[in-house]
Amino acid sequence: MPKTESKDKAGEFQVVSFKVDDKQYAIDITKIIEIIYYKKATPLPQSPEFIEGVVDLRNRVIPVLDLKKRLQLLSKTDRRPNHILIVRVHDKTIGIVVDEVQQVLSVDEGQIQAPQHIFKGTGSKHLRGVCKVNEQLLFILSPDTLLSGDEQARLEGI
Amino acid sequence: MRSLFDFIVRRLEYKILSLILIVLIISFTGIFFIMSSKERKNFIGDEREKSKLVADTIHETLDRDMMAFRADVVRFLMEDLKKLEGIKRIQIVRGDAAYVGEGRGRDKAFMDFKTLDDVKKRISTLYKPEWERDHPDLKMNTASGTDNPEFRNYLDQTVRVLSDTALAGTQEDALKRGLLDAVYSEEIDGVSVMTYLRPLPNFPKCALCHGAEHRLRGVLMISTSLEGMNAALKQSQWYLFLASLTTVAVLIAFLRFLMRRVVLTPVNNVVGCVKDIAEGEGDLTARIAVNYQDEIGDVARWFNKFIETLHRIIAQVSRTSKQVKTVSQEVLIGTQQIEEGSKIQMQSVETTAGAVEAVNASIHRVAANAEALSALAEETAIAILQMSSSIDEIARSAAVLSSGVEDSTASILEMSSSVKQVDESVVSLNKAAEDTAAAMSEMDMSIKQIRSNVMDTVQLSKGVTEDAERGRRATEMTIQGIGRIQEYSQQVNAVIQNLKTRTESIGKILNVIDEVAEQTNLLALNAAIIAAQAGEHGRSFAVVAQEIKELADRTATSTNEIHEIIRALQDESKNAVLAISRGTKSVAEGVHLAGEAGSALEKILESSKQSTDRIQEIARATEEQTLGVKHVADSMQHVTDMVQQIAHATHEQFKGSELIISSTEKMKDVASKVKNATQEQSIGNKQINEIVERVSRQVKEIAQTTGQQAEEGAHILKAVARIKAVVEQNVDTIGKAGRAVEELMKQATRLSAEIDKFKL
Repeated sequence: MPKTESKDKAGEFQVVSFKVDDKQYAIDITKIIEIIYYKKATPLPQSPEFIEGVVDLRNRVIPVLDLKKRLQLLSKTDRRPNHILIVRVHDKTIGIVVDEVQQVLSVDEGQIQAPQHIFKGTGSKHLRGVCKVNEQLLFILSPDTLLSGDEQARLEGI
Repeated sequence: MRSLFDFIVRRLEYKILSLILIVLIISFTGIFFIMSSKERKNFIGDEREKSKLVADTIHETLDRDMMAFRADVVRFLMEDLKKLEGIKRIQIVRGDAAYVGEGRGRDKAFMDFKTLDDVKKRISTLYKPEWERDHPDLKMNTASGTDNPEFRNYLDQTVRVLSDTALAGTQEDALKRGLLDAVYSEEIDGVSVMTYLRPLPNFPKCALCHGAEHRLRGVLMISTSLEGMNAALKQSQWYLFLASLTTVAVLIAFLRFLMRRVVLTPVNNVVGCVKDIAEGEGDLTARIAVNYQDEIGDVARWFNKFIETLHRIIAQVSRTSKQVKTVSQEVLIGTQQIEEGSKIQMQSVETTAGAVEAVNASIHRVAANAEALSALAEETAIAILQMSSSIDEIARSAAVLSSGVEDSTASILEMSSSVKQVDESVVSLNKAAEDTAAAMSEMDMSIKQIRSNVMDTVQLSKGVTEDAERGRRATEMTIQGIGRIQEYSQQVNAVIQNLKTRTESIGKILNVIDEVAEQTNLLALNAAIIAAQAGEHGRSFAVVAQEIKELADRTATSTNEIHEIIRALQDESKNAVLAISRGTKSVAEGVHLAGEAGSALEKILESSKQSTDRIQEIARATEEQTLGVKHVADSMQHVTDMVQQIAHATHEQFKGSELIISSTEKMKDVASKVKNATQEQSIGNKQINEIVERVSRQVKEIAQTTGQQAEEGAHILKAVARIKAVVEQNVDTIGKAGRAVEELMKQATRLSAEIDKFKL
């Protein structure tokens, strides 16, 4: 495992990398509250398809989001998810189900290519960009776009 | 008794009469008993009828007066009836247990106030004071005769019949027809009585005064005396007896009269006639007068016939005896004459005999002389003959000797030739014996060879046995070694199994470590996140977190490696287990094979032992054979020696026999010479013989003639003696005949007198 120095350089920021369907994704570390082990979510009635349900985190009810469904990825593996990332979206706390949390990485802003440069589509709005780390592509998500305003409103009640 | 029997047996009349008497007595006794029992039955029937009549009266009165509420009338009626002659007892015994309780069949009705009290209780308004008039009130109210078992039995039965509701319709009918009544005999104060019983049921009409809880109000009991009946019975029996006796007496008298007329008189007539004939002095003209056509007449007729026949025979005898008398008189005269004549004859014979005897004596003397001469001549002839015959015998023996010499010569020749043959065969025998001896020594050699071979074989087979024994021991050890291997491999297997479980537990521990590492990792991540959020202040913390994470990662990596190693180890141990199980299997096979090898070796050992035994036996046998062969060889040597001796002896024999032949030849010549000389002598002898014989014949002739003369004289003498004897016999016989004739005469006279006694 390569050693990542988290030096305080300008334009450099830390991300937490994780795997979903053998692909590497990352989220800005500052957005993350904590990482917990995966537990089965309780399904919500009349919720959007990508909402797996709610989990209890220290007496707080947190909605949990299935990233595969949100990103409309076609599932290739039947791997059981291992972790849930607890993230702050706007002023809301939600859980994101991932296969495996990997490590904390430092990413240079300059290395990130904007998604618009690669392709255009609805999916791209959830991406902040793509960068290459250790000869592997790393998709950096922007968690604020994972829920639209309407969706946020619908989750208000929870 | 005996004399009475004898008297009866002696007379036909008494015999018949006593038989009839016995038959009559038996039949009249039977009639007597039948009649008297019938009479008794009639009397009892009458008594019963009487009792029934009284019972009917009382019952009738009870029925009617009770309904009219006049119970007292019944009571008075019964008191009155008691006074009737022959009635010993009239009483009503209270019946049902429901009515009198334990006193059932014991109390008498109308003798206390029990019933009246009861009735008063039930119908006090209808109670009548006259019921109590003269009513007795006994303290001990006990009916007599109720202990009789027949009465108790009757009571129980009647209560049962009346209580049977199924018979309700027929009960009254049965009562009316007297079917429920009963009769039995008993004694009251020593007087025999007949007791008649009648049930008095509790009819519905009685229930007003007496209640309906019970079925039998009581039993009417009437006992009548049987004394009068017994007296009458005795009287009639007496009459019957007298009548029977009279009848028997009259019948016997009548029968006797009839028998006398019909049988006894004719029999006595015949007996009288026969007795007259028997006692009369042989009067054969008397006859029985026959007047009857029956068997008695037959007896008389046949007796007459017999007398007639007798008459005829005796008449004939009388005639014959008279004739005998006259004939015997004539014979007597003839014999007397013969006697005298023969006496004279005898005298003349005696004189003749004397003369003949004198002649005879002289002839005897002449004969004796001639005989002596003849004897002398004969003796001479015999001597000469004897001599001749002895010479003949010598001639014959000389001839025999000659032929014998010839025979012996022939046989000596034969012997000589056979001796020669023997000699030849002995030579060949000698040769054969020598050959046999040679063959025997060869055989001895070969047997010795066999023996040494057998000895070698014995050694070899012993070696085989030992090898097999060694092999067996080795196999046993192998089996033991394999067994140990099996044991060890089992131990190894156990160790490996143990190892497997240990590695499994290590795996479990590693899992725990893994988990801890992962959690550490996550914690480190979270720490890094918190540090990042803390910004500048958290930087050093982030470094620590990163290091922790790295440690956790390394831990995870090394645990994975250990996992791999353990998995490899487990695979190996699995392989080892498999190998061991294969090894165990092959060890088992090895054990099996070794066992088989062992058993095969065992068999080999056994058979080699057996073959050793056999070979030893063979060796022994060969040893014996060797000895036997030696014996045979020795005896062959003896045989050869003997054969040679025999050869020698036969050769000498041969020589001797030749000598014998020549000497017998010589003997033969001498014998023929002797033969010729004796033959000549024999001829001379025969001539002498003939001369002597002629002399002898002449002397014999003389002797014969005188002998014949003497014989004839003796014949004459004998004849005279015989005549004399005959004459003497004649005289004697004639005397005897005379005496017999005299006797005959006497007998004829007596017979004639006897026959004259019959009246013909």
